[in-house]
Amino acid sequence: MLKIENLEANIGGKKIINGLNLTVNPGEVHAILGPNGSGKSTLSYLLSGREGYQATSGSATFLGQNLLEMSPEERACAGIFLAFQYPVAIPGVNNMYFLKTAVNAQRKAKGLEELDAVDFMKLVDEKLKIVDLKKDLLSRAVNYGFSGGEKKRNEIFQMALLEPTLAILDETDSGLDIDALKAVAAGVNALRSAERSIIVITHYQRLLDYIQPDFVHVLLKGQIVKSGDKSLALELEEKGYNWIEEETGISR
Amino acid sequence: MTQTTTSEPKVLKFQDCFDNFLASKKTEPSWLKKRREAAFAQLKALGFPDRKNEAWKYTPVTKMLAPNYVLPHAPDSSGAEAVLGKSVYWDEGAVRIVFIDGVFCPQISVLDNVPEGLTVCSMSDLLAKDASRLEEAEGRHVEHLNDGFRALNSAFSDDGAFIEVKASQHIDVPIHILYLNGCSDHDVMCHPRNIVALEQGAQCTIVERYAGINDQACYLLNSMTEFWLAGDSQVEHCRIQLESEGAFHVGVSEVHQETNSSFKSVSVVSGAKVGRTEMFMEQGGPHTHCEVNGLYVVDGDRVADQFIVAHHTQDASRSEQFFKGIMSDKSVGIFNGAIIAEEGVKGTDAHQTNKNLLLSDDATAETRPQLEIYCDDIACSHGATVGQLDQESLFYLQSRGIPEVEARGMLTRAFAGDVVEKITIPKIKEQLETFLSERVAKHSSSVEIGS
Ligand SMILES: Nc1ncnc2c1ncn2[C@@H]1O[C@H](COP(=O)(O)OP(=O)(O)OP(=O)(O)O)[C@@H](O)[C@H]1O
Ligand SMILES: [Mg+2]
Repeated sequence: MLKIENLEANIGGKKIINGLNLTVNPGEVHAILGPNGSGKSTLSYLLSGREGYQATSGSATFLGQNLLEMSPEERACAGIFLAFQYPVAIPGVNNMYFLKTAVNAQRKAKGLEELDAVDFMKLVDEKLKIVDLKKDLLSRAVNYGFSGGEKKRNEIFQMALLEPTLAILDETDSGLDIDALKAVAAGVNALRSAERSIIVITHYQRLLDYIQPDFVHVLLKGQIVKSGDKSLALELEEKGYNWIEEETGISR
Repeated sequence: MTQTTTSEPKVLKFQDCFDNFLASKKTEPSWLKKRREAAFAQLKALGFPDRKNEAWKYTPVTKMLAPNYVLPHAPDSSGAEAVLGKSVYWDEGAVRIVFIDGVFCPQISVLDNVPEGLTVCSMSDLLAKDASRLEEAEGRHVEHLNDGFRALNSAFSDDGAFIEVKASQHIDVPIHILYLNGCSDHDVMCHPRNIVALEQGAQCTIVERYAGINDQACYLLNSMTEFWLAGDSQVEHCRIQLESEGAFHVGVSEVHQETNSSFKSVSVVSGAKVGRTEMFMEQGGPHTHCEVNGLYVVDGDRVADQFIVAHHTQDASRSEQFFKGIMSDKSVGIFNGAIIAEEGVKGTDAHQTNKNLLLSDDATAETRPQLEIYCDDIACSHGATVGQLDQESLFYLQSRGIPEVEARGMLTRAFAGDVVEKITIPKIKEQLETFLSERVAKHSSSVEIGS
């Protein structure tokens, strides 16, 4: 589904992604861990097409298409979704209006008929059963004045509405209380399927207790230096990153 | 300001026109003739403002005065009537007084529904029927003939709307003053003078709209509107300037407030090649509240210039200025906002905000707050910003599948939203939302993608 090969990228004149390889197949859940500043968010921006985040070499294909040549909206319509580490607040844009515009933009791109207000409300009600989100957050401006946890829930709610093929969750767990963490994880698990893949970027084992990954990768200085199964995350939780630095000779 | 009579060609070219005009007004009362002559003499003494004048620093006055303007005669209302069929000008149940190229047009005005306690008529009718009332109304006017355009208006103005609300009357239906301009084949100039007078405790809602019916038309519309608010009275005002894109507009509003009165206004500017909106707020008694909001949206090489003055001369007066500009292409948006608080005045509360959004690299925002505070007991704030669309927000919307053009449109409308929100007449608000969406869509798509 997603194939990244020898990807390199400079951000602000500095090499941040440095020969990264990763393959994600349908239905798989991959966890990426790595110290602060190792390039996790940068990778997520490269995959979702943020301006200023351009690959200098290597390739990334998604369902056979060359991702790196696509605009952010094309990538979204192709099925890529990024739950942001820091979702931006957009005063003046109503959340419900935003969600409806997004859903209909993606439907249009897929040649489906756009939803009218009534059908969209039905869809919202259906998804609210999966992701528990306070209803008044829908009538406010996008993320505006939302608490940290509310923003993260709003991200997962968007994911539920947009039903992506590949979801990248960038530290969706940070800043969440225990109940919110469970709620978010339940939302993610409800969306797990044989066709849908998920990349979970996190610092902690905690989220992985709820969303069990098939693979765990360690990102260090812009490359994946070690991969394993879920036991690798437990080992990192216990020992930190020093032993990996020693083992690989790559330091942060 | 004392100056000798000018020989400035910009002024002199109005001389013949003025002489002919006076000759055609033989039946006018002598006080009016005197007033016109004095105003024209004042124009000659002052000349038109130029860029050396701080208040007109960024306004291309020479361009505005380049055409050889003529006064309209026997305006052709057929084009205007066709335009009027467009629903945009309708507001069911509203009172409506219409002027075509500055001349009162009774056929398409709606005045048979004017409620008890309200007078709405044209200045020309008032002069014919009750000249002394006109003299009294105009006589009250503190002749702020401190620049050429105002003097020009006073010299030539011979029509406009006269609106009067009797004491304690609350007029529920909106009163529309509609100027349909650019109906003539000639480069016409018109100088409307509107008076809105509220007696003690009266309330009304005024929609003042200047619309060009043909975007190629070149004309000068140079209007003055006076608001006289007696004690405890309230006015809700919406001023819409959608002149032809080849036209020039100077629109002055003077607001005079007595004790405990309230004036709330929203100005929307999106027309004219060069459009200047002036608003002056002044008090005749304490505890007044004056709130002026504005949105200006321009493109091409057009100029939108706002000149706002809150002059605090009485105790416990509140003023708020909240203006936003959206400029694309090579357009220029100007905000000159003054807060003046006189010595010894107590309890002033004065605030000013100006925010600008530039949609292209060649667009310009000039923002000039001007504070003249001569007293201690005052709460005052001002702030100005100039920026572009937030890239992070744009990416967020796009990352959800919303095309860039649409995402830009959403963010631009969001920027304008908190001004449009202040319009209290649902029909007008709706119209402006639609209009702005179309405008914004045009500019979001003309932006070079990826530039
Ligand atoms: N626009 C930019 N300009 C300059 N440096 C940048 C820019 N964006 C990212 N970086 C740098 O790239 C490195 C990787 O950042 P990134 O946000 O990808 O790290 P991360 O792995 O997500 O870290 P964290 O765990 O703290 O979220 C950091 O050193 C960061 O300062
Ligand atoms: Mg990060």
